[in-house]
Amino acid sequence: MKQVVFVSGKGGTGKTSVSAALASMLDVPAVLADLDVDAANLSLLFDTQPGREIVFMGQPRAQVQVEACSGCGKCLAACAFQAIRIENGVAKVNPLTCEGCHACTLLCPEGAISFVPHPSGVIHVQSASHQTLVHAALDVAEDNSGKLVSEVRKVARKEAENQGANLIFMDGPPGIGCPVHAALNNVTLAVIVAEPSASGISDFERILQLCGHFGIQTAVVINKSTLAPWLTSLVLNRCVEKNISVLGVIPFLPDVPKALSQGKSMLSVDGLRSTMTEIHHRLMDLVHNDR
Amino acid sequence: MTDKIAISVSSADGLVATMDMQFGRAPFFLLVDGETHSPIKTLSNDASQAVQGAGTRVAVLMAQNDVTDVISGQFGPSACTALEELNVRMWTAPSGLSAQEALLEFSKGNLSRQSIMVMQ
Amino acid sequence: MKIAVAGAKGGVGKTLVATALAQYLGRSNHRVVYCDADVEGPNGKLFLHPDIERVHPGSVTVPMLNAAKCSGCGTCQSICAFNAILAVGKKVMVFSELCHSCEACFIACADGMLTRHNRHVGNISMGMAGNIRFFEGALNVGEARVAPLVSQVVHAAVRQAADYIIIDNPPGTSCAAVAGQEDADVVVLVTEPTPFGLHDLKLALALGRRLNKSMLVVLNRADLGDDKDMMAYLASEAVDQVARIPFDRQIAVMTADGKSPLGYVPAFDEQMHHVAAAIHRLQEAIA
Repeated sequence: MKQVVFVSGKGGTGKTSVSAALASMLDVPAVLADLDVDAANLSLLFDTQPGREIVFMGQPRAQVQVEACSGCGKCLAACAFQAIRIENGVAKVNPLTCEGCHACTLLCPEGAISFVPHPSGVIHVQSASHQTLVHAALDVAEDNSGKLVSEVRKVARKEAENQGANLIFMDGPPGIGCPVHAALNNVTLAVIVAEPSASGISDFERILQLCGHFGIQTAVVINKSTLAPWLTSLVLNRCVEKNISVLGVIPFLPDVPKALSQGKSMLSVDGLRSTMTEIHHRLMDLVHNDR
Repeated sequence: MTDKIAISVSSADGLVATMDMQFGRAPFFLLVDGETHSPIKTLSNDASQAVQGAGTRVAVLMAQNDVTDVISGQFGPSACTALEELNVRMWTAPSGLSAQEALLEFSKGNLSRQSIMVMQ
Repeated sequence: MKIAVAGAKGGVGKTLVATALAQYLGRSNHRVVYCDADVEGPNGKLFLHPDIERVHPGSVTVPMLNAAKCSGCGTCQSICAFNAILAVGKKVMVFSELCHSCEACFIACADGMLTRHNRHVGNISMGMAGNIRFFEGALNVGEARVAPLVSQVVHAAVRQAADYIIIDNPPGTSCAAVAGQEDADVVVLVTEPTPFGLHDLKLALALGRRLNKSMLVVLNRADLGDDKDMMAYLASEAVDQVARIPFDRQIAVMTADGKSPLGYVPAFDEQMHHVAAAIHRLQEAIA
């Protein structure tokens, strides 16, 4: 099974628009997965049909057994997140701010607090054009986690196996934290979508370092290159130094944000199709020649 | 005390089990004798469902079972730090191998040693 | 009155609206506080050009082991819900990037061997931008936990004696967004009439409902796309759209250049007037 993931080090580089455009150009059976669950926008760029849903369980949250609670308030003092109040003489937990740490249970003299599994989001399996798309929606006040990313990937893998598809094409989460580690695990290729901006460069360096740590085959797409040509050269030089393939360089065209704002692919913008086709070819070459 | 090797695997099927490539979230670990490579036991990984920090918890599991070498696909940065500190050697294997095949590659010296990561 | 300016997604003009609202309200001799709680990318200073008077470190509490008398009981490890402490015999390791500062380990450690250590996660700056009191939280690069610094800068700002406290919220609907909105009397949601904008508005609205907040909607680049779906959605949710900022070249150029269009683009001033008027109405309704 070949697995490709798009990462960026930080949001806003155009990772989703680039990966969605490339996904729509795939001419082999593939399953798509959106691992950017904080802003799972990939499905908006496809015509999706309603599909299957799987509830995702997050960190268990505190729950007070009202009968057992004496209302002493020791748990309030223990809670670093101010998630507990005394209401009508008993402790009440705010599930939006409780982080599931167990500090309250340590101080509760009545043993009235237990931790209960807590649904924190839903994984969707939908058909999008001619492909299957797996994506997740977190409930409000929930954070992305390595666990959720792993779950989405597991579902996507099963889908691919059932369909006899040999490729999983994934839009990764932003950042360099735990969710990204889970997204990079055992992939055939990580594609960094880099943006030439002052903050973009440091984000690029950090994600590059992370991919290096995991020993993953890495390639780069530079997006909005004409915004700051000198920084684009900087990224290109780093790729040469590190022996990383550059799949392509996408110029900044004002028509791109316009197309995206209308829910259209960047492929609809004049002059980008040939650039994207080239990127697509180079990408598939790397994927197929792996190992 | 002889060496003890742990391999992250996707099922409790002994040496024929397929490797799981994610150290922290692998469902099982097969423990084998470092010299004879004969299976000792299969550990189930309770931390695989942890919302965060699965890798660090598995590192403790390794230490508690006197593991000297662990073979997996990928070790997260925190897991690396923990294993290094606990004197457990980390080895990365290519995907798709069974536990037995991974051990064979290990004894041939074909697996690469994972070192800790320092983020700048 | 505490006003949170929020949006589920970055790049929709949240900071433009928050800073312009602060300036607009500041014109009529109100005491105004602007608090930039978008700690991962605080950009309010680009519009307000504050003079920074003080910078405080923002930090979180993490445990540190005093190994001398540790009995190696392992209780700290078993209590930690975030797997941030490992204990193997007397070897105790703290992974501070995984720590949520819940302090359960301090309660649990029978030997009293864990001490509180402040881990620096970012900075809180304070100053003046004209007659606006300015606060900003800026997270250190690479720091994963956002919410604590958001809470700290918001708490510092809401302690001020002021007529209006404007909180420029972090984007999203995670706990960082909750931390920014928790104290607000009203949430101003900024969005744009695009499929992404609508999707994100639904999420932001869901969060506001969970927190039981009054909400107003400002549509930015209002004439950019087709707003039919968005208007239908707002009507069905009974949420007021109080202003429509046009897609205007001069606004775009000034914004990119770090200048506030307030006072330069009449159409923009007019829309900020609408936002302020809606806030006044709400204020009277509450009072």
